[in-house]
Amino acid sequence: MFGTIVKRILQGILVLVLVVIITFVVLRLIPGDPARQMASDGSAQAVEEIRAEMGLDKPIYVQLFEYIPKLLTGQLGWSYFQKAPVFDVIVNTAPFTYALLFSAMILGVIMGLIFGIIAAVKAHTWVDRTLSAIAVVFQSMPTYWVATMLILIVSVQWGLLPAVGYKSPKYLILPAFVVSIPIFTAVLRNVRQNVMDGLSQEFSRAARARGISHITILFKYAFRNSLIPFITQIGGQVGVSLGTCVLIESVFSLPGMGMQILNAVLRRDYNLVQGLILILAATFVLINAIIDISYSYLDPRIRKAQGGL
Amino acid sequence: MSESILRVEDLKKHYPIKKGFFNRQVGTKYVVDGISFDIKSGETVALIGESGCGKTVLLRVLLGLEKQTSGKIFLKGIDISTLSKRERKKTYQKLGMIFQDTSGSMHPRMTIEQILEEALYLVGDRDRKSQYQKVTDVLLKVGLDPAFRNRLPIQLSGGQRQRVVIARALIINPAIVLADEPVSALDVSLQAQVLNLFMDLQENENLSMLFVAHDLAVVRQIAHRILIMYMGHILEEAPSNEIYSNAKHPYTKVLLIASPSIAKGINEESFHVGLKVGDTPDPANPPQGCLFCTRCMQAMERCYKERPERKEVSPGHFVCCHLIDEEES
Amino acid sequence: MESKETNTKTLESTNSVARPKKVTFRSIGRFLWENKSFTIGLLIVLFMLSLGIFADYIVPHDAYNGNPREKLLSPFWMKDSNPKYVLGTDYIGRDTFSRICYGLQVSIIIGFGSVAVSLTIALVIGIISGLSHPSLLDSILMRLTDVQMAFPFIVLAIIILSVVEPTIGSVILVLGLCSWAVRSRVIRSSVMIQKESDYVAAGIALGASKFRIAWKYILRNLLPSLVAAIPLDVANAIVLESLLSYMQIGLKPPIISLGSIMGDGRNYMASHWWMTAIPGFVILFFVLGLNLMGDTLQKKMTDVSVKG
Ligand SMILES: Nc1ncnc2c1ncn2[C@@H]1O[C@H](COP(=O)(O)OP(=O)(O)OP(=O)(O)O)[C@@H](O)[C@H]1O
Ligand code: SF4
Ligand SMILES: [Mg+2]
Repeated sequence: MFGTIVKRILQGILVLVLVVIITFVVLRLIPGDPARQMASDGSAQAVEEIRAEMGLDKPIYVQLFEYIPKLLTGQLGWSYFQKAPVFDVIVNTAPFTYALLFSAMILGVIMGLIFGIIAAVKAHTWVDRTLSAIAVVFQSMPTYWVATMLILIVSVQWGLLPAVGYKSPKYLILPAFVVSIPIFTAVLRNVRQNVMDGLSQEFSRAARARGISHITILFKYAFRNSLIPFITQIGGQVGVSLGTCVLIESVFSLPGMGMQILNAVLRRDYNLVQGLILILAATFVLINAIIDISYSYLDPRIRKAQGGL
Repeated sequence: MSESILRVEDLKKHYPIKKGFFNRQVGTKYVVDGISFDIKSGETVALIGESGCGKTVLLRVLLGLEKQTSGKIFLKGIDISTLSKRERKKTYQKLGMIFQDTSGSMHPRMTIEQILEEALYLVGDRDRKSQYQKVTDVLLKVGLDPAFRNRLPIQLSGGQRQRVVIARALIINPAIVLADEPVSALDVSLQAQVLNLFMDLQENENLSMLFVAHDLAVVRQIAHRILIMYMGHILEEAPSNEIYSNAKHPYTKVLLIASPSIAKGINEESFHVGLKVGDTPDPANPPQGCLFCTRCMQAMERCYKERPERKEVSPGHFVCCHLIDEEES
Repeated sequence: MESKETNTKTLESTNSVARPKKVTFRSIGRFLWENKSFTIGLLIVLFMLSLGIFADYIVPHDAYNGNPREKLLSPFWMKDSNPKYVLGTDYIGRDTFSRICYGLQVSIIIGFGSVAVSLTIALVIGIISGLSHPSLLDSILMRLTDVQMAFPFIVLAIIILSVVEPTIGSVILVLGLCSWAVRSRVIRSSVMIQKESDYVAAGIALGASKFRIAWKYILRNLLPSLVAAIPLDVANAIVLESLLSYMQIGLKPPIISLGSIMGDGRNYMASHWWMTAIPGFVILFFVLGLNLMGDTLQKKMTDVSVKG
C-alpha cells in the first residue's frame, strides 16, 4: 500500500517535470517574445538589451538549465507584465479558480445525485425519460455558448445576476452553474445506471423480500454498491472541469487563473504562463493521484493488481 | 511398450512474489514443483487435484505459454522445453488445448468457422478449400451440425461451445490433447455427453490425452492412468483401477470419499480418513515435511520433518507417503 | 453416462438457437424502430451533413460578401425580417443561413478529420503500451498520456496555434493532438485484459505472431467499440473547433466556422441576440444528434464485446 502511494506520487512529479519542460520549449518556439512587446521605443537595440537582461538571448537548453534549479527552490520568477512575482499573481488568482471549481463540483454532483436517483427509482417511466432527455440536451450544449446566453438573458435582459468581473460571491453563481452542467449530466447518467444495477441485484431483492423499506434499500444497499464507480467518475470530472473553468472564467471575466493564463500566453509572459500551467497541471495530477489511491484502497482487487500481490 | 508421446521430467514453475516500490522479490510461489510423468500413445492420463493446486499452470507451461523454471518436456522424444516458439513450430508436433474457460477461449467476434480455420492457419494449413472440408469433418466428428460454422460463440449453448473447443483441439491433428477440466462447467447430462464424445475419440482416433479434473468420479471411465496432484506435486500415481480399488495415499482416499458415486463401493472402515480443519497451505510457504501434513489425519511426527520419497508399491503405482514404510516394516 | 452410442451420433441440430442475423432492410428497419433516440439522432445528423456537404448547391446567397444595405436583418419569425434571408444577416449584410451551411462544412471536415487523427494516435499508443505492459516503454507512453491530460486543452491549443498558422489542416492536427489520451487509456486497458484472455492464449499456443495477435485478435475486438465512440468524439471536436474560432484563436476569415459566426454576433448581442443564439443552436442540434447516435451505439457494442 505504502509502495503504491510513493509510486503514484513519483509518477505525478515526473509528469509535472515533463509538463514544465514541454511548456518551456514550446513557449520559446512561438514567434514573438516579451522583449519585443516590452521595448518602449521598439528599436532593435532596445529589444536586444531587454533580451539580454532577461536571458532570452541564450540557447533554449541553457535557459532551461537555469530555470529548473530555480523552480526546485520554489522561485517561479517575475511576471514581466504584471510587474509582480509570479507567485503573488498565483496567490491572488487561484482562489477564484478553485472557488469556481469547487462550487461547480458541489452543485453538479448534488444535482446529478438527486436526479440520478430519481431517474433510477422511476426507471423507464416518463420521469426517467424526461430526465434522460434533459441530460442529453444539456450534455450537447457548448458551455461557452451557454455562458454567453446566460449573460444575455439573466444579466442583461432580466438584470438578475451580475454578468462579468468579480465583486462578491454573487458573481460566481452564473459561472459555477455553467461549469456544473457537464458534471451534472455525467453524474446523473452514472448514478442512474449504477443505482439501477444495484436495485436489480440479488441482495436488494432479498432485502425487499424481508420487508426492508424502499429508502433503506436504496441508500444502504444499492447506493453503497455504486460508490466506487461514482468516485472514479468524480475524479475524471475534476480534470475536465478544471479545463472548463479556465475557459468560462474568460467568458465571465473572472479574475482567476484561467483569465490570467490566456492573457499571459498572448503577451508571451513566459514565467507567468509557466507558473500557471504548473499549478493547473499539479492540481489535476494531485486530484487524480488521490482518486487512484483511494480507489485502490476501496477496492481490494485493484490494490492487489497494483501491488503485484 | 508403445511410443512415448509426452514425457515430463522434474518440471518446475515458480513465480516470484514481488512487493513494494522497487518490486523486490520477497518470496517464491512453488506452483508446480517437480512433476514427472510419461504419456504413451493412445493413453489417457488424468490429472486430479483440488482448485489452485497448479493444474492450469502446468498445462500452460506444457503449451509454452509460460517458461518453465526448470525441468524438461519431451514431445515424441524431442525436448521442446528448450526450443523457441519458431523452433517448436518446426517440429510439426502439435499440442491440442482445451481451455478451462470454454467461452473465454473463443474470440467473441469470430464465427466458429473462423475460429477453426484460424487454428489451421496457425499450424501452416493455408489452403482455403481443404480448410473448408476439414472444418466440416471435425464438426461432424464432435457431433455438431456443420451449419453451425457461421455462428458466433455467443449464439451457442454451453455444451455446443464445449464441442467447438474440442473440435479446435482436434482439427490440427495434434500429437496429444491437453484438456483442462473440459466437463467441470457442464451440468451432469452434458458431462456424460461430452465424456462419451471423448471415449468415441479414444476408440476411433487413438487419441492420447492429458485430462485434468478436480473430481475422481469424472475420469473413471476415460482415464487409463491417474495422477493425484497436490500443491504442485504428484502425491500418487497409478493405473486407474488401482486408484479406485487400492489407493494408498491419504489424500487420494479423501478425494475418493468426496465423490459419492465412488464412495458407495468402498468399505469406509478401511479408510479412516477425513480432513483436519484448516486450509491448504500457502504455496509460497510449503510445509517442510510432507506437503499434506497440515490436513492429514494420519500425520505422524516424522511427517512434519521429512518429505516422503516417491516409492513404487506395485508395478506402475507410485506413492509419496511415510505410511508406506510403516506398512513394510 | 450409459447411453454411449446415442448422443454423439445424433447431431446437435441448428434450429435450437437463433441464427446469426443477416443485414436486411427489414432488420435495419426494426433496429431503427426499436432505437428511436438513435433514429432521431441519425435524422438530425443526416440533415446537418447534407447542409454542409451540399452547401455549394444549397446556399441562396454569397456567404462571403454581403450587401451592406441589408445588414443586421432579423430571422423570419421576427418583425425586422426579409423573406430573402431566412435566418437574417450579419453586421455587413451576409446571409446567416448561407454562412451556417459553410460553417457546417468546416465543422464536419474538422470534426471527422481530428477524430481520425486522435483515434490513430490513441490506437497506436494504446495497443503498443497495452501489449508491452509491464515495461519501460509502457511507462513512458503512459506518462505521455498523463501529460496530455494534465494540460488544460484551451491553453495547449492557444500555445500551439500561436506557433503554427491556424488553417483547416493545423486545427485538425491541434484538436487531434489534444484529445487522444483518454481513448488511448481505454484501448490500453482493453488490450491488457484481452492479452490475458484464453482466446489470445489459444492463438499464441499455436504460434501466432505478436503482430497477428494485435491485428486479428485484439483489434478485432476493439474496433466496434471504437467505432461506436466516433460520434461522441466528433461531437466533442466540433464543439472545441467552434470554441477556438469563437475566441479568435482558431480559423481566420475568410474560412467560415460556426464559432466565428457566433463570435461576429457577440458585439451586437444586446440588440441582436439571435446572431449569437442561432449558430449556437445549430451546434447544439448537430452535437445532440451525434450524442444520441453515440449513446445507442455504445450500449449495443459493449453488450457483445464484454463476454462471449
Ligand atoms: N502468473 C501467475 N503469477 C503468480 N501466481 C500464479 C500465476 N498463475 C497462477 N498462479 C498461482 O498458481 C496457483 C495455481 O493456479 P492454477 O490456475 O494452476 O490452479 P488450478 O489447479 O488450475 O485450479 P482450478 O481448479 O481452480 O482451475 C494459484 O495459487 C495461482 O494464484
Ligand atoms: S506422509 Fe504423513 S502427513 Fe503425509 S500423507 Fe503420509 S501420513 Fe499423511
Ligand atoms: Mg485451472
